[in-house]
Amino acid sequence: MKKVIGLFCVVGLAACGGGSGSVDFTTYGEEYIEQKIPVDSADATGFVDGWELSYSKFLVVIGEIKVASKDGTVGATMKTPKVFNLKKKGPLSIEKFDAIAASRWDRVSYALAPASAAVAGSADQADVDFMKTNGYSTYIEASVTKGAVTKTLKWGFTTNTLYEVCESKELGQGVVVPTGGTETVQLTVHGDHFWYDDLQSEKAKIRFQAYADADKTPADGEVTLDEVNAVQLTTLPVTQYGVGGASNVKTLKDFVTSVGRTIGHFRGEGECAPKVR
Amino acid sequence: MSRLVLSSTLACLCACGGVAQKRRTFPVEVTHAAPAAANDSGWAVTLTKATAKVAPVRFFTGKVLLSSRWEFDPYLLIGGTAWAHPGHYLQGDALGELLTPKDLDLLAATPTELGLAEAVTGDYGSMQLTLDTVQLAGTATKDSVTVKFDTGAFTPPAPIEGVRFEKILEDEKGTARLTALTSVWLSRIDFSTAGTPNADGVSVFSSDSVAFNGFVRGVLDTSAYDVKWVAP
Repeated sequence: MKKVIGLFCVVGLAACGGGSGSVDFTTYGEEYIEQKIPVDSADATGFVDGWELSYSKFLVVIGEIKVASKDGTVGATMKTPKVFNLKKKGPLSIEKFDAIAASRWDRVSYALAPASAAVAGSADQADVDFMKTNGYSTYIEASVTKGAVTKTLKWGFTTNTLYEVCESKELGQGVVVPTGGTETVQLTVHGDHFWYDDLQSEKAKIRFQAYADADKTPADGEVTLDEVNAVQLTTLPVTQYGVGGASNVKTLKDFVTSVGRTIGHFRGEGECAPKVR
Repeated sequence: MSRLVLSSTLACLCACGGVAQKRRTFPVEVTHAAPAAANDSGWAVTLTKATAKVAPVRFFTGKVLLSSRWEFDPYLLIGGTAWAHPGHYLQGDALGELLTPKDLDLLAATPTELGLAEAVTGDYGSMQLTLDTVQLAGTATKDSVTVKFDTGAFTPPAPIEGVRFEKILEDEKGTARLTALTSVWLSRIDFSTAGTPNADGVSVFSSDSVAFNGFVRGVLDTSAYDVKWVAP
């Protein structure tokens, strides 16, 4: 009988013992942010139009981390949002929550959202102030090169996105808190997603040419969001920048803003449901 | 997906793994909603022609996450899998299909019946629509300028996937009604780019024009298709 009870304890940690443990949240921008996004090498992992991108800064405001369960029970919540520069080598520690009931918590969520009360995570204080002053949730600086041509960009986004019901294909929904131990959960940021060329198609590719071509007013090598906003999607090849059912996405700035909401991930390739706020 | 594969899938849904799904049929019909306001560029359009051929229509379990309101809708995901990648629409399992091609006059006074879908009961999430030779003609007016136009025919290169249709379908009677929102087809067209009129005074969109590009993007926009279950 003890063996049977023990088995149930392993399967449903919360049901037995009443122990507690910790969850250590980290964030990581992977090689795409820390190093570069290369030219595609026929394995669909880089720019298919010959560009190569290196981020010099990738700031995100991470907040509202919540460890909860489907029935509404909350195990832990993040009190103060933090600003991270994902260009710095990760994984980077966000916050560790202790004394959480040992259990599977199947509702883990977090936000990438502007926050006037944010403090420094891995970002410099000047960058924290910059994000707060401009009301940004995400800010990127990058250099993009193709042959002898180099474009730069400095783009800030005020998007407010809550990532809910986070799930890892391998580890399941949420997180299992071990009795007396610590489970690490990585909130992974996918820096390549900004450059996908379709909002819905599974066959979306990574491209930059349309953004490079937007550099017109003036054609000075820096691609601004105002220039990107001047590009109507109807002027781009019809096979690129499809929007699925997002009829309000009209310009290339609309597009990059919308696709930029998909950068938030969970434990590597795991997914969350992004909620626009 | 071939008919054989889909039919096998439907059969499996009925027979495999103890899934309590039953075979059934239901009628599918198509109608259209005329544009009620000026489009994005301020052109008011009156249609004199709206035709298309519809070929296979298929129904799937996969729910659409990116709504026409430009919002991700996470509440569709409760109990399911969440996706944030582009390509977050996954069609899931096949639940029904109607394969007979039909020519449509979308300006007809009454909906056009496509036929009976061979289907199973279940939790429907989306529809896949195969369109051929979609074409609009009419007049577009903005300020004092009127453009007589013909979009020319456009055949989408692939079925239009991820059309929202959410319905737990059991034994009830009814019809799946697809309404083509021509306002969305027209929404992105700047008729000032329609090109030089021909001898009849009609600007026929060239395939490399911005106007035709806008038309194509409208036809491919999944929010241009509203699918509802209509009880008798």
